[in-house]
Amino acid sequence: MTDAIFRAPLATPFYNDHVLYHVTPTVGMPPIRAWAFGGWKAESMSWKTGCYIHAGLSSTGPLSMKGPDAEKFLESLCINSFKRFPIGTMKHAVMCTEQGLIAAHGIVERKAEDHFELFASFPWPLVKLEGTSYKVEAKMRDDYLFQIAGPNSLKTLEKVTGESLRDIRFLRFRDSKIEGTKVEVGRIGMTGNLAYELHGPIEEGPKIYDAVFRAGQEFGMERLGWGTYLVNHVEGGFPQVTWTFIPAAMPDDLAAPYIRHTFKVSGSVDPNDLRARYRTPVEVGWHHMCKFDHDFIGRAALEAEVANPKRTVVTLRWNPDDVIDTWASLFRPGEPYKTFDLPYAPNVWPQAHADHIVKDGRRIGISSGTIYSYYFREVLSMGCIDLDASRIGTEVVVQWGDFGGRIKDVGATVERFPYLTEGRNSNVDVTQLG
Amino acid sequence: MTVRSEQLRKTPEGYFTVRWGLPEYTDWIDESLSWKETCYIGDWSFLWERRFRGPDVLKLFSDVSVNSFAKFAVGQAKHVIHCNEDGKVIHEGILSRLGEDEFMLFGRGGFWVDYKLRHGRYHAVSEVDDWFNFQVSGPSALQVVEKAASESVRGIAFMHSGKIRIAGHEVWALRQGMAGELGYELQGPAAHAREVYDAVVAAGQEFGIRRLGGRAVFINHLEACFPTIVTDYLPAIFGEDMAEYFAEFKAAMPAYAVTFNVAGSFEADDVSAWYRSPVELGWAKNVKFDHDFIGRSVLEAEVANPRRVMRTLVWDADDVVDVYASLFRQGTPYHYMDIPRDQRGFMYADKVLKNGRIVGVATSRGYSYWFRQMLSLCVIEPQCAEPGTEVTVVWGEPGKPQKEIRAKVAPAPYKKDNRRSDVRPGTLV
Repeated sequence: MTDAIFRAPLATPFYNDHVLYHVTPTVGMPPIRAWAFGGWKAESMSWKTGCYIHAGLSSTGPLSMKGPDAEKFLESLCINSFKRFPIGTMKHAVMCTEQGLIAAHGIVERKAEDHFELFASFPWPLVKLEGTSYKVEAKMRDDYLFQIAGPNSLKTLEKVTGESLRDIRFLRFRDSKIEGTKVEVGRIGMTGNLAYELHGPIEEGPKIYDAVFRAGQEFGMERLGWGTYLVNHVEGGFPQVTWTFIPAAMPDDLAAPYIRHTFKVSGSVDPNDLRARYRTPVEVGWHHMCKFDHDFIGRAALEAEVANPKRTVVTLRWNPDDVIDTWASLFRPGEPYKTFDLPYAPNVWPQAHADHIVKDGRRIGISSGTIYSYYFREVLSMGCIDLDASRIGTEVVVQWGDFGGRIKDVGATVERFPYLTEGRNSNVDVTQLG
Repeated sequence: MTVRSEQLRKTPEGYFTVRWGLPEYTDWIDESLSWKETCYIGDWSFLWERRFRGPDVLKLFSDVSVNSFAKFAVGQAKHVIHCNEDGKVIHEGILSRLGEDEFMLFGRGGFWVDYKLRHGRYHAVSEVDDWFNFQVSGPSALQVVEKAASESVRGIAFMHSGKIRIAGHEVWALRQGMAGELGYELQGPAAHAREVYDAVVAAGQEFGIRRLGGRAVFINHLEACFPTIVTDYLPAIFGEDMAEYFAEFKAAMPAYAVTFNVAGSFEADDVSAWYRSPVELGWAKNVKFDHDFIGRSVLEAEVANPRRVMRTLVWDADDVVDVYASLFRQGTPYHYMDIPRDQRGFMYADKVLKNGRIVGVATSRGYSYWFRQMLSLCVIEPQCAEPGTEVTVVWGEPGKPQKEIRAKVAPAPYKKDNRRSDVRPGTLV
């Protein structure tokens, strides 16, 4: 940690004034993040009214897995079915422990019959590959990863590539060109609405980033910083490891020190309660992805849970007066309530935050991923909640604060999940767009 | 080439507070209590150093500074202030006399004084240096520094430096107090930074030392009234006569350190309205007319008849909370108030009204957890400067929703000045 203070403000390859900030430098996570550009309000409106470009996931891979056993190996890790997985498509792969807790998740692209590329789900697959006899060659690459999201993302990309990209359906990818350089264009995103990713070698990143940003000017493009990025996951309904839950990727005896070292542990739930910060696929609403047409780690536990689910995911809309009172408490004598940072609280990453959800004095779930949505003018969070309390309109209480500190009971209402319903990427027919 | 103020109303990229390391080490509340209860170590190593040598160095500084150098002992340090012909601050910083003919200047002033050196006739040379600057501030600072150095530092007088050893390295300990409390700034070659820093943090454990992060930083300046470049005034370097210097200055600085961005309700056509004189910033006592210097005649008149003086404003809590409440109403909310203060690097300048007339400008708005109050600094007309006077701060950008916030005038510094506490043997602790 002492390192951080002695490093000059770092520059990413993509822009000049960049900051190492709000982020715990940790093995396996990129230490460089642009925190803010035009400010959190403008940035958080961008994917509803125009579009954004976000570079913060660059240099995180991908992990290339190639070989005659690549498919068999990945299938053994993933809850997803590999029955239909043509070349040129991607899946949101979810990998669990034997207990059925999510250890890693992320996009997997099928590049060839025997070749897959994994984004943001390691080191779990590498750990699991070690010592096995699978014929798989695993190699980390250093690529840029640019997310271009929002209703104007397609227009921007069509302008900068100079070609129609309407053939690229949801969860498909293919090559295109920007200023003569090959780029991979995939239709996927973390906003819930129309969104794309660009992939390519990191050395080509600056040029591609600049070209896209220039092309995006007329389409209301903002550069998105990490200080606003995570808002999209909660509006868009994307539970995310390191943000709304933590990975169950360590044996029990190593997990506690690992989590304490890697994550900012916070919330009204006892910091030693790791289970409250883990999730199963069922608890985050991914039960439909659990396919028991193959063997995989955690299958037995998930079969039981799918048959008899206890919790699911909802959006919680917080009572404004209770949130405003957390600010008002700063001006009263005594201990104030936990600071409410905007646009997400706490304003740090990676985090292991968990607040109790209470109804009629009973603990019925865990709230995490707390954001202020400037678009909706509401504070929202992701609730993992007992099924019998998950009906839209149910009134609950979120206990906002840190364990052992002062707790504010915030009234909250169960709302639709995902919350941002307009123009979902999976439903948009781009051939009909103007 | 006058700079129109609209050109400065843009958002700088990133967070300027990154210069102090991580945003929070323990947390901003805990860190903001440290300089009242124990002490902090804060990293000001981003500061620029320039070493001046030669028989004419004092003459050079005398010509370009409002300060008197009639008394300036070896080992002494001064807060030197450089003004333009209009008596507005160009730069300011700490000048330490390391030897008879050797001086070290900390801060942006080094660029200006070097520029004047090169454009004048002085028997002096200057060169850039790179030192670490660790502030150790708060009531426990003395014990922490003595423990780290394994020797007494009680002989070092206020605004004087002494040589000590920490982690095997020679370190200058400058007794100052940028938190308005007992404090030492530890200085030395950048190569030794890490070992010295770690040794101080280790020595400070038993005294409850905290590491000061970017979020809480400058709340110390607010409570103790240390107006600061870009947060409380823009340097007087944008005029036509300064064009050559400005170009040099900008080229010499990393891009992140030349974010001249204004925000707030205060409006004016010309950027000079964001300049300040040393009198306005509360430094009138440093202006000495025992020598000639740039800006002397204007400042002589101003010291005799100040137009604005420095005060603290205490903002009304209910009005402040309504700014947050507006986030949940339809329509455009009021301009957001970051807690505890802005981190983007604006100079927030907000109109201060009395009976509808502009009587001052508020800067450095910040939340003090120690006082449980939203405070700001304020330059204000003398007739409204009496503590207890009720005024109104206008919060919000021109053309956007603005909130009138009631405020009360209070002394500056707001927190009792404890910098000069007597630490000679047998006095304290």
